[in-house]
Amino acid sequence: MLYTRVVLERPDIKLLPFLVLFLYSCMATTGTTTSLSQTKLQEIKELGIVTTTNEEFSVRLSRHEKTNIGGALFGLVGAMVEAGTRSYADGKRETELSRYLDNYDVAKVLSERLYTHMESAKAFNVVKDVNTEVSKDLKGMGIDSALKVTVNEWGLRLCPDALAEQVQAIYNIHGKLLRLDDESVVWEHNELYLDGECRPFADFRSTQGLLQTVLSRAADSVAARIANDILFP
Amino acid sequence: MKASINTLVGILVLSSSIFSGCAYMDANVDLQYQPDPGRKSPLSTIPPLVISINVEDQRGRGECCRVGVKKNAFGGITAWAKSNTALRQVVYDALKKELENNAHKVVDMKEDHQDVAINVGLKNYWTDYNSRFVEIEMIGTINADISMLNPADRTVLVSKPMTSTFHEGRQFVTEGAFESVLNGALVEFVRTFSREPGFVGALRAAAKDKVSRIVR
Repeated sequence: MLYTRVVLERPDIKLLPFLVLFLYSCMATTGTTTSLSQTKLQEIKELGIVTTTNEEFSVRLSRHEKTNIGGALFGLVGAMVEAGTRSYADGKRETELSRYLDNYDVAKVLSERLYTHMESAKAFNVVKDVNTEVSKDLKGMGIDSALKVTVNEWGLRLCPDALAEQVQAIYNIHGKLLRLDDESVVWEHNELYLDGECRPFADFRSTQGLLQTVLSRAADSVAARIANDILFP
Repeated sequence: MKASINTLVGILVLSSSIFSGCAYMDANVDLQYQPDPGRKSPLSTIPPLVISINVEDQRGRGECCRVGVKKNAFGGITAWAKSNTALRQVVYDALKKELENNAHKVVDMKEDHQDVAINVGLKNYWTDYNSRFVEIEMIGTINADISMLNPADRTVLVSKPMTSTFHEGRQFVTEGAFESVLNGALVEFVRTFSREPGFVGALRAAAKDKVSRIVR
């Protein structure tokens, strides 16, 4: 009742739903959701880099194979059973390969690579690889801007159009660059990085150290890609 | 009262014929990339190279200039979105403009003196849309296999697939909407190409090789 009265008495509020719809009509949502300007880039003097993840190593092989036999034969229940079976098969592969990771710290590796690429560009007075996201602590370290990177997915994924079980390294990243003085986001980007180097899944079982090498090389490429996106707005 | 009902019915009939007519007409879109002269990419940090570009349209047969479809409420195709320019030319022109904006020279494939040859196999250039609650989400996608070669001995410097996507929320799927999304995908494609560390690294290695050849 109160809402109805407010809407009737305030003509400008009546326009609000239409305004929302109008704005919605032209809202772009891309890989880069907030673009960095050259001016904002030049304002950044001391950069802190923090990378986090809550995700374990993942393998998406069965789940990405383009068949849907269960669904086609047995409808929704069949599709659900097939999805569960595929997820179980991938889970087994994850467990199998995880023992080759030896406590591989994906956040630490990616952070170090980001530090290397940002530092070597000589675009900032100071670049620091930090392990806190708390703005107060970052400001205390003399940092004025923070690059916060979250790893939403990392591991191996099926290569498209591959004849056999061929996989490639994958990183699904969300990156955000914040100015600490006003907590404003000056750059924001979502990246689904596939390294394109397809190799048989069995190679990761048979070749010592291959998994860590491939993941580290892909992390370096992701870090370089993020650095390029920031340093060349 | 009867007059106002008749007017309303008339407006509804006229509107449905106009809008359904639009739905059955092909959308012709102009696809092109315009670099911002003031904005440079990592390609500008590489000493100028002489580069040739070869783009092959490797999409399905019969696709020609089709870059999307118009659909009715049942998901049936009512018309096509078509590019006014051949897609291989669109991609070629985009990469050429980006390389030239960053001080590199693009020459014909048959040119004797080249530093790097870039081959692009265009696999997909398409837009699709999904209805959401309050808007329609349009997605433009470009997939291509890109390789860079040493033209002298055809050694592959780097080869990898590349995907770029562009999303836009819309209230109506118009000809302008198709053009905006597909051009957005092209901008993302060029941006991804010019910032991909593998490609930048290969061009940098080619430039280093060029300098050492000159010194010798």
